[in-house]
Amino acid sequence: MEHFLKRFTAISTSMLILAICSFLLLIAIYLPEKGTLLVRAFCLSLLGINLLACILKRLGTRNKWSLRRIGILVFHTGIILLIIALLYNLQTEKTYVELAEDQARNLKQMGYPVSLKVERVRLEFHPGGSVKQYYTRVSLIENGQVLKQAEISVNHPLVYKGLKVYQTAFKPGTTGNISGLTIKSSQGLEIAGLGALFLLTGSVGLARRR
Amino acid sequence: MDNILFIAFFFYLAGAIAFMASYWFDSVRSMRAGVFLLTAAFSLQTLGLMSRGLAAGRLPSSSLYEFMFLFSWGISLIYLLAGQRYRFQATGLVVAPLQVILMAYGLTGLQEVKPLVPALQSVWLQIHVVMAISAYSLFALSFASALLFLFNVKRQNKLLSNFNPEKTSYQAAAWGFPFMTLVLLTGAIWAEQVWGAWWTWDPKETWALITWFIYAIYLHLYRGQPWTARAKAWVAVAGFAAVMFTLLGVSLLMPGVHSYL
Repeated sequence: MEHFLKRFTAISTSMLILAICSFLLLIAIYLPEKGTLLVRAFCLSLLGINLLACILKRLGTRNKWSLRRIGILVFHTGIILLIIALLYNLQTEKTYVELAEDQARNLKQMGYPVSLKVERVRLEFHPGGSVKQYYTRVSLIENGQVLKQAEISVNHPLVYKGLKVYQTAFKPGTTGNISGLTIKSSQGLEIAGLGALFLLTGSVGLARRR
Repeated sequence: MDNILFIAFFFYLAGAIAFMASYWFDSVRSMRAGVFLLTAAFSLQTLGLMSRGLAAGRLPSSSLYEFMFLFSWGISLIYLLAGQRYRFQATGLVVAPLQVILMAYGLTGLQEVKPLVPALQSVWLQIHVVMAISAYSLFALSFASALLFLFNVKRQNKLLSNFNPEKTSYQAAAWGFPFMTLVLLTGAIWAEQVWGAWWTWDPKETWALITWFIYAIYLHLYRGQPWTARAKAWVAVAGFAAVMFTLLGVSLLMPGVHSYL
């Protein structure tokens, strides 16, 4: 067992795993949906477990602590956090709805005790005539009370507690413009954000000379 | 103003020819001419890109044409900046022809200045592109050094004798790696803002991740087990092949959310 652990946490083993996962992730693009999911979950888990083992192994050594060593530790911990976030992300669901002006949709079956109402949909044009931006004024309503009102547009979603609403599409309708909106939960984002932060701060430490 | 970029292209072409000649005839003078031509081309390109950027009011990076010229501008910038310090000049032998190919490919795209579609109007996207230019330019230099190293083994050349290709290849990749990390992170932030999905495993994202993996492998080869210098150089070459495929191959062969470029 000890021999296996020593082999498993060697740099060359990790690099081999990284190379194999690269190859598998490429193949995964062309597999049917279930296979894709399985391969990605397998690669992420393998990379995560290997990385965790490597970190624990190196934490156990009595090397002197330097800024570089802390940087390496933080950077690799960040990767583990991102792997966890990616694994979580494999099965997050998004809902797409199309609502005309003054139309509302109850989001109860999605797990939110609110309804989403589209107030107004408008477009902005470039001088040349192409579309510059799509805007939708939306309200989140609970028991007849407006919780939040905002004008969203592409690149500027509405964020309210665990809920995010995105401007996705636009259609002109007979009674009023129709807005295509994507609704999703922001759960799991904190882990990804923390992972990204770790990668950034770790990089600074890594830049120190050996 | 696009004529300036076109003239710059010919200066690069002349520079590439001068570098080739310096290799075949083992001529230091010809290499100096190559560096001079590349510097001139770079200056013209800077003017051309600046005027284009000012006219559009944004970074000139939202079409194949613009991106290719900006990419080759980035390669020149890093080549010239690092050139003095690390005796990088000989890498022009690989870099100049590479730039000519990149720009020639860019010239096949549409050249008119177009307003941005809503999805592309994001600060994060601009940072994403700047990081990509920085990372890919550094990787191009790493690739050039590795290729020269692989050639140098076969033929001892006076021009290549005064620089250490193995070291420069590693250093360029080590500098490029954090930028590549930022490419992935800023791309994810932008994707979360525009689509509500920070990672969708779209072909371009997968290939960018694999590029990151290959450079991670390359940097780790210098620690732990002793690998031959040739093996390392080949990994640097593979890394840049992945960069080029991420940038061009994916768009040509596998349509996805990155269909803008």
